[in-house]
Order: sequence, then structure tokens, then C-alpha cells
Amino acid sequence: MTRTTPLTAAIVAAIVLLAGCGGDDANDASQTTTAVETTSGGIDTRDLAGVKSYLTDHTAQLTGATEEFAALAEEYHDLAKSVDYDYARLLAEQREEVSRILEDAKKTWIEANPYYEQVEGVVAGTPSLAEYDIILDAGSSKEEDPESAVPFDLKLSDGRVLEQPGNLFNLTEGMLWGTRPDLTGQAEPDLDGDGKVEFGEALPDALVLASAAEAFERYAAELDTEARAWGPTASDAFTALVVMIPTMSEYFGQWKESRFVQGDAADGDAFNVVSRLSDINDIISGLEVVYDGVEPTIAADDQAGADQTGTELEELSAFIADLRRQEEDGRRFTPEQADQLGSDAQARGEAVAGQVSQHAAKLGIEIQQ
Amino acid sequence: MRRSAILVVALAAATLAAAPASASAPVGWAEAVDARRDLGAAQTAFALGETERSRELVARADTTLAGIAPTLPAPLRRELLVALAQANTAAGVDARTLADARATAWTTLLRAGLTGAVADARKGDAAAARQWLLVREFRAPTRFTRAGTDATLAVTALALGTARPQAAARSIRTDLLDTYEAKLRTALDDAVGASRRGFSARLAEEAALARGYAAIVGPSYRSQRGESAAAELERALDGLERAAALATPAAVEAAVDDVARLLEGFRAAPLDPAEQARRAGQLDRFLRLVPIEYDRGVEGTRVTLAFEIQEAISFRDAVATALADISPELLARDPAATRELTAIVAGLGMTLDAAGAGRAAPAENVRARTDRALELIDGLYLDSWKEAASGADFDVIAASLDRLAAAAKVGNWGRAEQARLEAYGIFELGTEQRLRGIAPSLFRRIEGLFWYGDGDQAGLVQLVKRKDAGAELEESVTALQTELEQAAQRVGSSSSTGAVISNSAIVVFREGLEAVLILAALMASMVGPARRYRRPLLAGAGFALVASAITWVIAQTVLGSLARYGEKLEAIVSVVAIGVLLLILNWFYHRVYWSEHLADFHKRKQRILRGSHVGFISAQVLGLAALGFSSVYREGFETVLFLQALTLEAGILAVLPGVMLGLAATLAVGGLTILLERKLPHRKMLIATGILMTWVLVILVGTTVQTFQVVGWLPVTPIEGLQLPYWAGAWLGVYPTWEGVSAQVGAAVFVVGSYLAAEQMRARKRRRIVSSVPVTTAPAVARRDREPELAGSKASAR
Repeated sequence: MTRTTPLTAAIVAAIVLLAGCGGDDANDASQTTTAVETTSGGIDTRDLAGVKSYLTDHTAQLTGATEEFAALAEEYHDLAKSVDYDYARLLAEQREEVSRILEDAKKTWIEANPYYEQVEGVVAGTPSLAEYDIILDAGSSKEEDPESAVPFDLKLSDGRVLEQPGNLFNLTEGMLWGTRPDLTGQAEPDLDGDGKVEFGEALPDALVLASAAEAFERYAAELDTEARAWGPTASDAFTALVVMIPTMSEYFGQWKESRFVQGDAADGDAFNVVSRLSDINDIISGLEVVYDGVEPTIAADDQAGADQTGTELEELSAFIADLRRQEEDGRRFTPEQADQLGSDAQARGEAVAGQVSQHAAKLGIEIQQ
Repeated sequence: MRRSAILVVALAAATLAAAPASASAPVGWAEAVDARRDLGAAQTAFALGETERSRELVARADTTLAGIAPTLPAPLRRELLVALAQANTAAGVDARTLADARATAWTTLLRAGLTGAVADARKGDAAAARQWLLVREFRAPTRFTRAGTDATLAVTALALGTARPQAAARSIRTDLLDTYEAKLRTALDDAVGASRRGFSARLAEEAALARGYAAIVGPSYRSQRGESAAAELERALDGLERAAALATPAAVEAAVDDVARLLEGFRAAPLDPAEQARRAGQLDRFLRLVPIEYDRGVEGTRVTLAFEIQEAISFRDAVATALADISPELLARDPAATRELTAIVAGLGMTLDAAGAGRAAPAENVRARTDRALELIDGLYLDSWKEAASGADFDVIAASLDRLAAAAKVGNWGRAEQARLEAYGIFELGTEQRLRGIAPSLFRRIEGLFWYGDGDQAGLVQLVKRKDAGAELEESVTALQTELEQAAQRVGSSSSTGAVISNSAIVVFREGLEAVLILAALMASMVGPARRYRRPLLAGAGFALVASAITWVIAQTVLGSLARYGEKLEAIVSVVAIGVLLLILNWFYHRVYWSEHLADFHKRKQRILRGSHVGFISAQVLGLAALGFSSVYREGFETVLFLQALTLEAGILAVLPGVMLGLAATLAVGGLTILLERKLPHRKMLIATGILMTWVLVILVGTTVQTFQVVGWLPVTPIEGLQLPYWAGAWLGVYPTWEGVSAQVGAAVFVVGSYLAAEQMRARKRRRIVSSVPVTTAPAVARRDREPELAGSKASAR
């Protein structure tokens, strides 16, 4: 049997020692970094519980409204089917019933709209939920802009497929109010029988409406489920604020092109029923809830900064709310006034978003892409 | 009395000495933001026809700013007071003049804020600098960019004492100049828009803003372009104001074009050399990825994977951003080449957008243009920029990790896995080798976070497999990004010679250990007539060393391309090594099989054992040569890559001693193995050799499976709940996946089973022979049976 000599043992020991040696540069511990130590005491996500309950309250309401909408769309479809989708005959034989159904559908649509707009800031600004904003409210059609097109198609029961037709709010608005004539039935939609067709009188294509309404109900329910499963993080909240607040320019631009500013000269197919100002007001309101959730965290690090940002966000909200009130009171703004107002709102929004970015950086909170 | 006076003076002096340096920002500086808001509201009120309110708001702003103005430097004070006077006159009367005055007042305040913040930061007064920064603007966020935070973080670092005053001042200046340059360009675009729509007040405002922002970046423009260029810019801005007064779209557009031409290639906050190199590296790295992603997403002119097209678009957009950042430097080097490069990048953008809309160009088209762009880059770049290209790997990895997190959040696990593979693939391409040499513990943590975990942190492989999109994935991604940031700094910094020597020695030793153990174990058993088997074994090893040296030479010139195929080549060579090792083990354990059942081989073996010339055509010889080659080259290839990267990093003089040390240790282990085995009785020596080779085989199988998983040739199925330390993988080839562990267990079972089966066959044969042969002939048979063993024993005795 072999005996290990002392020399052998020494070689073994040296090799073991060598194997255990080596490591990072001796200067490792003294390497300076560019990261700044946060002065924050940490992020308490309990402050964000209010954000989640605000979201789920609204998604539950939206789900209810879209269920109702889908039922009405189904009722309309059944009527249209009974006359073999002959819309002239439908109006001739069932004008009262059709008018009632479509009127109820419009009311339900108008009711559903703020349920979503009030949480759009949270949904669109949270990466894990943002796809629903594309589907419900922000996505374009494939023809308009493929890069931001909705991810779904509508498969109709007659075999037609509408590929990436645009977001569901815009689609259904266009069908109900006639701003998407390509999605309406071939007949003069004189719903009230007064001999003339006015804005808002339209006979939607029943198959498209039913399919869109079904999709609307389905995605609203999915959003509700996702919202309940969502665990809001500080990163989500800060990202929502930074991403959504500076969208003023875009939304004011849409408002400028809508009927609320352009009147009959407007040629857009969306934002003609509920003023975009109302949407903007709702979005900012939702973002105020989000800011309330993160304000304690910011204040723990920088009270003065938290106060400044909070005040400026409130003032932006008040600015928008005042404009909305004036519009609801009957005031019509000119395109130049709308442009000036949008520019002012954009400047305010950028200032608030910029400040939130700085707070996030100091606290080491990631603003997601 | 006198004593009291002295005491009071002393107390006053002490108080003054102890008092903090007073802030330089004017008292009430923060209210300047309120004044801005009031002036904006005044303009809006005027637009809405509320003239009285407009006047009130202007008066309020005037009161606020009049209190601040006297504390500003004289030129700024004058400008501000003139603007306020204009605003007061115009309020409720002249919308255009009011808009102009508002913009002028605001940009004057911005200039004061920048100047004050930088000056106070230089003095080390963080509190004062922070005050000045209350009045500032931010870049408008877009899909790809956010407001800069460097100024804020610099002030915070200054306050904490972790940044020097000069560095903090530089960060503040860079952040703000970058912001206001972007605002200047935006104001020019908005002026054109306003003129087309016929909004005269807005046009006046944007023209005044453009002039105001230009005044802020003016000193930088002057220092870069000279006095005459600065004067020309001044004249162009005068022209814009005159055109705005006319409010004719054509005149405004012409004036804006003049200003834009003078701003071409200008960067208010020039990138420092390190940032230039980083941007250059990003441009190179992202550009190379564009055709790769595009190719995956199209077949002919048909888009097959829209997601890949989107990836290509994202990378192309990143190329455009990086190019814009360094175009001033590139234009200075070669304007024509830079413009061609810019046109190619813009053209690629249009092609990819068309593909996104379903109209795809062939992949070759995109590849050809990318290749041309890379050619131009090669001619344009400084050598230091080319070397820095690998630093951009970290940006690409970070972008891939962002995509992983985004894909996981929406439940798209296929994309998440793809992003993970991409991130790790980039890491493997070049960064890994350098990091292993200079910061092995950091390298281990990163490997762990990518794969099977590090400490309490789960690895991404496990989390993606588990489809876990919760906080744990976010934490792992964040932890990995933090480690990668450290790695980026380490790779970019120099390392101590001692660390380089010891780390290169460790890697050479570890990589060489497997090969040496195989060779030493076999050679130890090759004594007596079997000594001749050493020749083919050593010849194979020798060829492998030569091949490794040739690989070194090739790698000098084509390191990037080589590294891309490194893992795949290693995987292939490893499979060959396993196959050959199995064969040799089979031959080793089944000597009786060869000699009893294959007459030709038996005769050849007898010739060999009697000392005949070892022909290189015999299976054993070829097998031994192949084993020697594959064992050594497999490790040699990876070691060459590592040494190449480390040499670039630390220089040959630092690396060579480490290599020598590692080789010496490896050879010492080999010598020790031979020494120990020689002391064993022959049979036990054979058994020890077999055990050692089996152990090496099991390690080889484990590391080969891991390599196959890295290159994506085998799936990865983590064993849930099994946490193994890093050394288990590094030294024993044991990784916590079902594929790896099963393969290792299978290999061990196969070898041990083969041995037991062979032993059973021998025992059965002996029993047959004993039972069939009469007693008188038994001793002769027994002698014949024992012949090989006796021959071996005799050889051992020699």
C-alpha cells in the first residue's frame, strides 16, 4: 500500500491552497462607484394599496358596463338577423326597438368610458397591464399605425375577419355614432324618423358590433382579473406618473381635432362623444391617486420636493378641471385657444413628470421602459 | 466694559465662523416657478379673452420676479427687467408681445439657474446648488428616453460627500445643457408647426424660446465653433424673430432651416472620451444585432415572426440614437462617410418599419446595408472606440434583461426565455472571459444569477422555467443588473498584476486538470510492454497543444468571430472526447474480451506486447491519440479565449507568469498521480486508473451537457429545490438540471455496469472452463488464463 511522502503531502497542500486562492482585485473593496446612496428609509408598498383598490373598483364597474353593452349588442344582432341583415327593412319594421337598443347602448358606452379613463393612467403606465390600454383605448388599427396596432382580430360569424381593427372604445364609438361609416349598415340611419340624419344617428353593422362587444366584455373581465392579481410596486407607480403625465400634448392634440373644437369640420372617428378634456381630467384624477400612494415615500426623503410636486400636480388637475367645466357650460374653444391650452398643460405636465423622475432617481426606484 | 466688548466681538466672530456659508440663490428663488406659472396663465387668459385676469397675473409675476431680479448678475437682471416691462405693457393688449416677453423672462431665469447651480456646486455648496435647480426644465419623455437625473444625483452626491465639487458641477452643467439643447430643437420644430397653423402668439413664443435656449447653450457653441460661427447663429436667430413677426410659413421655415444648419453636428454638452467610446461601442454592437434579429423574423419577403422584426426595429432605433450622439465627432473625422452612414441607418429604419407593416425586404438586403455601415464605422472609428465595442455588451445585455422582464410580466415566456438566452449569449461572447480573469467572484455571482441562483437569489433559468413573474423575478433581474453594472466598471478599469497572475493561474490549472488526470492515469498504467501506448497518447496531446497555439494566433485577428463559435466548438470537441474516453474505458475494462474473442486484435496485441512496432493504424493507437488530442484541445481552446481576453485587458507580462504557474501546478498534479499509482500493486493501480477516468468522464459529461444547454442544443430543466454551490459545477461538472444529473448518473452506471458485466462474463467463462476440462489439464488452462495478468505483473515488477 502506498505511503504518502511528506513531499507529496506538500505538493497536495500547495495545490489545494492554489485552488482556494485567487479572487477579485485587491482594490475591489475600495473601488468607488457612481451610484448614490439613497437617503430614503425604504419604500412601503402598503401606501400603494389605495392605488390597487382604486383600480379594481373601476375595473369591476367597467366589467359590469361591458356585460350590459354586450347584451344590448346581442339583442341588436338578433333583430338584424331576423331580417337577414337588411338594415333598411330593419329600420322600417323595427325602428322603435332599434332606436331604444342603440340609445341604451350609447348610454352604456358613455357610462363605461370614465370607468376606464379614470384608471387609464394606472393601466397604461404599468407595464404589466399596459397591453390592455392598447386593446381598450389607445391601440390603432393595422392600417393607421402597425407599430401600435391592437394585438387582436375580430372574427365575425359570417366568416369575415377584421384584422387588428383598432381599440375597442374607438371602434364601438365609431359604429354607434356613425363616424366609422365602413362599419355601419347600408341604409339611411334616420333613427328618430324625423326625415333627416344628424350626427349620432347610425345603424352599426350588427355582426361587427356583436363581435366587438363580446371582445370588449372579455378583455374588460381579463383586465379586472389582472388588476386583482396585480401587486403594485413603487416602480409601477413612479413609471405610471412619469409616462402618463406628459401625454397632455397628445391628448390635447386629439381634443383639438375633435368635434368639441372643430365642430362639424372634425373628421376624426373618435373622441366626438365624450370630450377628450373629460378623459384628460379623469386620467389626471387617477394619477393623483397614484401620487398619493408614493407621496409618503418621497416626503420621507424630500418633504419640500414632495410638496412642490404635489402642489403642481393639483394645479394641473385644477387647470384641466376648469377647462372641462367651461366646456360643459357651453363654451367652445377655438383651435388656437386649444393649442395654447395644450401647450400650457404640456409644460406643466413635463415639469411634474420631470420632478417625479428626480425623486425616483434619488430613491433608487427604476422607471421602467 | 472693555472685557465685555472683547467678549462680544469674540462671540460674533465665532458665530460668523461657525455659520454655514450663505446660499447664493436669491431669497425667494423658488417662487420663480410660481411666476412662470402666472405668466403662462396670463397668456392663456389673454387667449381666452380674459384681459383683466391676464393683467392681474402679469402684475403678480412682476412682483415676484422684481424681488429676485436685483440679486441676479447684471446682464441677466437687465434682460429679466426688460422682459417684465414688456409683459406689463402687453398684458391684455398684445398677445404676441406678451408671449415673447414670457418666453424671454423664463429662459433668462433658466440661464440664471444653470449658472448659479454650477458655480455653487464648484464651491462645494450642495444646498445652494439644489436651490438653483428648483428652477429648471426637463427633457420631454419619449418611448425610449426619460428626463435626465444626473444633475439631481450629482447634487445629492455632493451633499453626501461622495462626489467632488468639480465632478458634480460638470454633471449639472452637462445635464442642463443637454436638456436645453433638446428644448432649442423642439422650439424650432414647434415654431414651424405654429406658423403653418397660423397661430401667431404661439409662433412668437416659440421663436423667443429658441433664442432664449440658444443663449443658454451659446457659450458652449462659441467655445466649440468660434466667435464668427456664434455671431452667424445670432444673426440666424434674429432672422427667425423677424420671420415670426411676419408670420409667413415660408419665411419661418427658411429661417428655421438656417438655424438648424448652423446647429448641425453641435452638441452643447460634448461627450467626454469615455462616453464617446461607449456610444461608439453601442452603435457597433446594436448594428450587428439588426440583421440577426431581422433574419429570424422573415422568410424571403414574408414576415414570419413579427416579434423579431420589432426587436430589429428597437435595435435600429438604438443605433440611430447612438449615432446622433457621436455624429459631431464623426463629422469632424469624415463628413462624407458620416453622411452615408446616417443615410444607411435612416434607410434601415424605413425598411424595418415597412416590414413591421407586413412588407418585408429580403434579409440579404438588410445584411448588405448593415455590412456597408460596419465598413464605414471601421474607417471612421478611433482605435480606442473599436476596443470599447465590447463595453457596449453591457448595454445590450441590459436591454435584453429589460425585455425579459417585460415579456415575463405579460406572460410571454417564450420571449422571456429568448431574451435570457440573448443576454447570456452576449455575456459569453467576450465579457465573460475578461471578467473571469479580473473578478472571478463577480463572474460567479453573475453566472449564478443567470442560471441556478446565487445565495438566496434564484437564477433566471429557474424563474423563467417556473413562469414566475412575481417579485422574485424582478429582484433577480435587478440583482443581475446591479452585478453587471459593477462588472462594466471592473472590465473598464485596470486590475492589479497580482490578481491577474493568480486568476489566470487558477483558470489554467482548473481547465487543465481534467486533461492531465486522464493522461496521467492512463500513462501510469502503461508500464512494461504497454509503455509504447504512451507515444500515441502523448502525440495526440502534443498535436492538441500545437492546435491550441495556432488557435491563439488565429484568435489574435478574429477574436470576435471566434468567440461567437467558441461554445459550440467546445461542445462538439467535448462530445468527441466523451466518445473516445468511453471507448478507451471499454478497452481498459474489457481486455479479456479483446484477447478472447477477436483473434485479429488479439494477435496484434500479442505483437505489441512482445515489443513490435506500434502501428498507427491500430484501433487502440488511434483511440489513444484521439483521446490525447480531444482531452487537451477541448480545454486548450477555452483557455486560449480566456488568455486572449485577459492579455488585451492586462498585458502579456501580467498573464504569462500566471499561465506558467497554472501549468506547473497542472503538471505537478499529473506527476503526483503517476507517482501514487506506481506505488500501488498492479491490479489496484488498474482499478485506481479506472476509477479516476470514470470520475473524469462523469465530470466531462456534466460540463458537456451544460455547454449544450448554453448554446441551446439541449433544454434546461432545473431540479426544483436543489441548490448547489458554484464549485460543484466548476470543479465537478454537477449542475442542478435533470438533463445534466441524469447524463452523469447514466455515464457512471454505464461504465460501472460494463465493468461488472465484463467481470461476470469472465467469472462465467472460468466456471465453464473449470467444469469442462479434466482435472489433469486445469493447471495449464489456469496458467493460460492468467497470462495477461502475469505479463502485466512482470511489467509492473520491472
